[in-house]
Amino acid sequence: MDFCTGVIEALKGHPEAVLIFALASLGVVLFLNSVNPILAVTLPLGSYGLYILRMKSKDAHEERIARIDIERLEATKGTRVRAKAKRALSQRKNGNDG
Amino acid sequence: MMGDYFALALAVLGISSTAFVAISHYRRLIKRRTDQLRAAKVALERHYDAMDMIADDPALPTSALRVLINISDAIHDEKFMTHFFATMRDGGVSKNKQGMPNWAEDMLKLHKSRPDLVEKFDEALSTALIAGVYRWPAPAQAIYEMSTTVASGRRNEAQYVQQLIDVLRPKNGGNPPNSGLPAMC
Repeated sequence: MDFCTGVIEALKGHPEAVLIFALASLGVVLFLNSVNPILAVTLPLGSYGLYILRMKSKDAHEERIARIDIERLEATKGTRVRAKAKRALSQRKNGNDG
Repeated sequence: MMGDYFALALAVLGISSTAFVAISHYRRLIKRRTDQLRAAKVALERHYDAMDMIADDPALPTSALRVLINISDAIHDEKFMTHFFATMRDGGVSKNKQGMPNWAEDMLKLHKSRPDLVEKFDEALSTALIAGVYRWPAPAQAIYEMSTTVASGRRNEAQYVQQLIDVLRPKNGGNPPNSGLPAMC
């Protein structure tokens, strides 16, 4: 397996790694073409920074949704089932009393 | 001039890399927490389904029904679950209790006549424990530290549940500090 095939194989199924690879390549190309070095570094890094911040918000949103899902489950099904079980227990107590 | 630019570019690269590593670490933590919450939801759904099926079954011993209600209430209390897992991590509350609790003996007796009921009860208990672990951040962290002890320990599920009940019912007969739970069995 040559170097290029190895890189392509390693990047398969990892979109974030592909993005980093593409941006890093862009930086190298800019650098080699004597573009302003600050621009050559900050352009790819800035793009990746925006991407990672957006993904961070997405992850935080998914976590919030997962928490809300549980709270909703507890408030609906959980409340109903626990009330049913407590009712059954109190009926047994009343049955024993009577 | 080119050297200055190069040094500045390297500095920007270094600072940015550090920031990205920090953000990536934060993202990994959030993703892990999301996975834990999703696992807790699946476990909680199965716990409620199993509990729903057996709660009003007259064959279910009262002692077992009471345990089920207490566990189901307890797993919703973050302060209590944190307190319980901290206690368990530090060695548990009743090390000498290796025998089977009364409610577990009641269920064992029931196994011959109603294996379906016992199976659902076991499912309700085990899913409640899993939901309780992953529902809150501190127990989810503690279970990593306890995993070796849990795997190599000789306690069975009933004994873990009994430990939970023992923590829930402190020696003074009340509830743990800051717990809004009802009085225990």
